[in-house]
Amino acid sequence: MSTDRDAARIVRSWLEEGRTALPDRVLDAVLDQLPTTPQRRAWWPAWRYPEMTTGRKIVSAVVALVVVALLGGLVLSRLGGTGNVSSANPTPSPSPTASPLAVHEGALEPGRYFISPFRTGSGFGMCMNQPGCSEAPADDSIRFTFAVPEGWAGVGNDSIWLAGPGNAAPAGAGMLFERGGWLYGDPCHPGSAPDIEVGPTVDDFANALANHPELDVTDPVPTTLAGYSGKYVDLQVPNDLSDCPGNYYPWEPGLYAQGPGHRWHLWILDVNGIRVVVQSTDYAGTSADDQAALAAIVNSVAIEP
Amino acid sequence: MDSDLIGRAQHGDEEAFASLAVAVGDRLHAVAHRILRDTDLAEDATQQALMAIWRDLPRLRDRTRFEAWSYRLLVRACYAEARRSRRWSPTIRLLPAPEPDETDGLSSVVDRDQLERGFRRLSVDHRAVVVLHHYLDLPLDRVAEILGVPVGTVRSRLHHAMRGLRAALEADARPTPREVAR
Repeated sequence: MSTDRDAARIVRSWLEEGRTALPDRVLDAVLDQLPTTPQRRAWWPAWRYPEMTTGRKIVSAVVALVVVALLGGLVLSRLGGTGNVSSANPTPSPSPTASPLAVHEGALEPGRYFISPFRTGSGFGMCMNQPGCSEAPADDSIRFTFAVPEGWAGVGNDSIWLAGPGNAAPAGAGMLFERGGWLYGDPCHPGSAPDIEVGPTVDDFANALANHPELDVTDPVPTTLAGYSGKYVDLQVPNDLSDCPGNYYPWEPGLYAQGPGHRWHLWILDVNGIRVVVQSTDYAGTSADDQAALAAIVNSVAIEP
Repeated sequence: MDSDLIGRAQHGDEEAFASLAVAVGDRLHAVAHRILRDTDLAEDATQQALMAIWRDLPRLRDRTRFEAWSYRLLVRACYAEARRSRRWSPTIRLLPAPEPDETDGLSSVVDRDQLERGFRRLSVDHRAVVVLHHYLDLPLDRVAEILGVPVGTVRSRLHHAMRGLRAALEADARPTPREVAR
């Protein structure tokens, strides 16, 4: 053999040999296990408030913001002071003195962590399965850092939830980051692709959510998080999902309900022209301490574009 | 890959997943077989990978990345199978090979045996790079994406692996009986 090219050719030829077909019994074994193997429902659900008037929706959103800010400050103070964030309209987060750690699967030691959810290859690209839209590199570098208290766990390397109940009903809680996307006309019966087109801006997504006749969403109100402005809405998954044969799926790419009554809190932000969504979720049954911890985590978020 | 099929499987449609599994099963199995060089381990790895695909499919956000994502899960399953069992090292079952085709440069059974032995001496990390690049014909940046390592690491592993395979072939470069007879 004279060259590397020769070696590569021989290896390629050799690799072509041998069996390729998967035996039917292996495939059968896989298919037999499906009914008893639950899919890992990304822990992102949707909630609806019962019939609220517009006024009540606005009041609810404002109250939620104030509660988040106040409780966040309380919890962070228990963490030993990772940042002064007890403001309803937080200014850009101060640079942490210690390098944050990457979120990883499993229990997280208290500290500051980061997630880069939109990097190429993460599977979290924007607007897949939406005509004319594909994963773009513009958002790859966006990094979210935040303070994590005791009792929380990483879900893969792209989101966090309570270490015990996770994001499941009736007492779970969690947080993740996304970009928003097109909506399903019927979240209870999502097709293979979302069918309501949504533009790329903060208002496009916030208004589409608020105007969706099948979604229980509060009216968008101005908000600021980590120094970036945008709109805030709450969305609640119906308390009864018995008529939904599959997952309750409001938009794509996005979360789907992990259980009835799941509550989604959405900060839809403009990060230098790129729409990002900070999403925290909980339930009415989530303990006050856990809700406060979640609020503190959200309030500690810093965004590096 | 049919995006509609992936979408329905993501939403828990078992029939859609069955169609998906049929569509990708052979390809996954072929890759596993070539990485692990063992029939039983390859079947186990493929089964594990298909179950992982079913479990985690709802978390795949970009359906256009399904193929690369499925290969990533398969390679992980191959790692797990290789760790779980040492069978593939000392008591490996050689893959059945067709009659030699001398036009392809793979001129003898000796070459095949030498390649088999040389390949088995590689780590699963190195095997995966060789198979993804030389069997699936994926460019190095795609291989890096699948394996979750930098392109430089892929390039290094490929170089190391090919050097080892070339050495294995050259170690038996003496004339074969067939060549002597000519």
